[in-house]
Amino acid sequence: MNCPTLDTLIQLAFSTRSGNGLTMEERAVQEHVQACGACGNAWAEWNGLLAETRILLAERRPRETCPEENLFAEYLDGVLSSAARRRFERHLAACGRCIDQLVETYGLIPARETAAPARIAVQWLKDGLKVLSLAKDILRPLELHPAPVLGATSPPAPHVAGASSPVPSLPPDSRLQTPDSKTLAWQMTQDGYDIQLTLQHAKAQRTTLHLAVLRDAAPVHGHRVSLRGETTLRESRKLAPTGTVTFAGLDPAEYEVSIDVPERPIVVCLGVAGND
Amino acid sequence: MSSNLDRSEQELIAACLAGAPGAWDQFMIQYRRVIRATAGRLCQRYRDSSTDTDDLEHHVYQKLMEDNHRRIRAWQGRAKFSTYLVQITRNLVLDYFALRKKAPDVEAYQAHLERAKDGPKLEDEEINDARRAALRKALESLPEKQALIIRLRLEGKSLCEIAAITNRPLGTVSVENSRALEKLRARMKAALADAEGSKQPS
Ligand SMILES: [Zn+2]
Ligand SMILES: [Zn+2]
Repeated sequence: MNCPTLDTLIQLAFSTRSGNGLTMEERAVQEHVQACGACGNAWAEWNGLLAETRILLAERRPRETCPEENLFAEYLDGVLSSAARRRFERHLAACGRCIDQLVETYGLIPARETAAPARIAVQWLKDGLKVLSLAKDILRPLELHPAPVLGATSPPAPHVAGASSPVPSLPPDSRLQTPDSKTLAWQMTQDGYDIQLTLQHAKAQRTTLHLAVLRDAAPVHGHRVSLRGETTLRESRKLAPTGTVTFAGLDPAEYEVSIDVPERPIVVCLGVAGND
Repeated sequence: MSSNLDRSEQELIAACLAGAPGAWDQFMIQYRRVIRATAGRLCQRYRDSSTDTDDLEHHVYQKLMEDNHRRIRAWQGRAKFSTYLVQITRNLVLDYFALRKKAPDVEAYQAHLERAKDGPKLEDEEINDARRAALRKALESLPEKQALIIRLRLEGKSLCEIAAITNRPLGTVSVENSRALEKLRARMKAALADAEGSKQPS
């Protein structure tokens, strides 16, 4: 491996501060850093600098009074207005005591024991969607049947509830793969729930996200599903008796889908990139 | 997503405050686990094995009942009560620790400051001072969203965790993180060049 850029080394210095282990790429960089003198020095310098900066910042107190407990709880629950959120974040970035409280209490809130979110990034092309990246260990791509030809024998129907394989039911028109419309589908499993996601994109239209949730081959319904984009969209619906929910009209953006099942929320991060 | 407000949660707290029969029993069933887990985790974090979690829990209940349940009444009902309760419990536990002794973190930090003050200043140290100052200045110049991300990364939080803490999509956090690092590096470079320039007579 060639010597990594300084930016990569700084990233590594930040990541090694976290107790959460490194990604495969970061581990490769770390191996290089341990073997290479020059990179080892650069990394160690930054590591020391970050550690010292952290200690100095921990002492810092802005002149304004610190926010009280309600505000911390509202911030973590995501119910603050965007102006209040900005104000709170400005204080957090400048106050050692409050950042400490936030970091410490975040880990203690029962509903926050989420699994690492599954991630998909797709690109929005004229002829449909293209997968850019996918967290393969959590999400598995699903093979979709080709478009049925009128008059020909229909291809075998997708598995439905009660079938031997726990694949949730696909939306009715998802098997249509025409030059003007494309559908991609993935499956994941968490805490005994089988989740299927499909993204549908038709020419000159925005993208539709379809979700289906099953448990022991039976549809799961009633739980809240929230779709959240950075600024564009905040929507929340309940799973229908068929165990499904649909969000239409997605623009290229980053989204987070959260399914509030009782065990712990199932979170999928979705990035729909534009056509440029 | 209009609000995280849980109707039954609000009704229960109102019933407790009104002294309805059985309400506090229900409160204990619902929230004892949260209080106990918070107290237990904080004992672990501060490696305080001398404090009994039962004592600590008792202290928390006592404080929650104090002044006609002042702390419970102060809940404004927008966040979930359990989220609010974690905040209250955490602060009560730290007060309890502080009453008995200084938190280990503070001691370690003060020792560090002492060393930094008394230690001989090497040339290396001077360069480091300049870099520290440059980094702090660069951090202060970041927009709050980016400053917060960098601040949380310094606390050892991963990008995934930061996305969860700040209620933002992971992709957004990743992008802001890269932008922040880019700015930090550029501004540090500029600040260090300035410092060098001012030292050398031109
Ligand atoms: Zn190298
Ligand atoms: Zn503060």
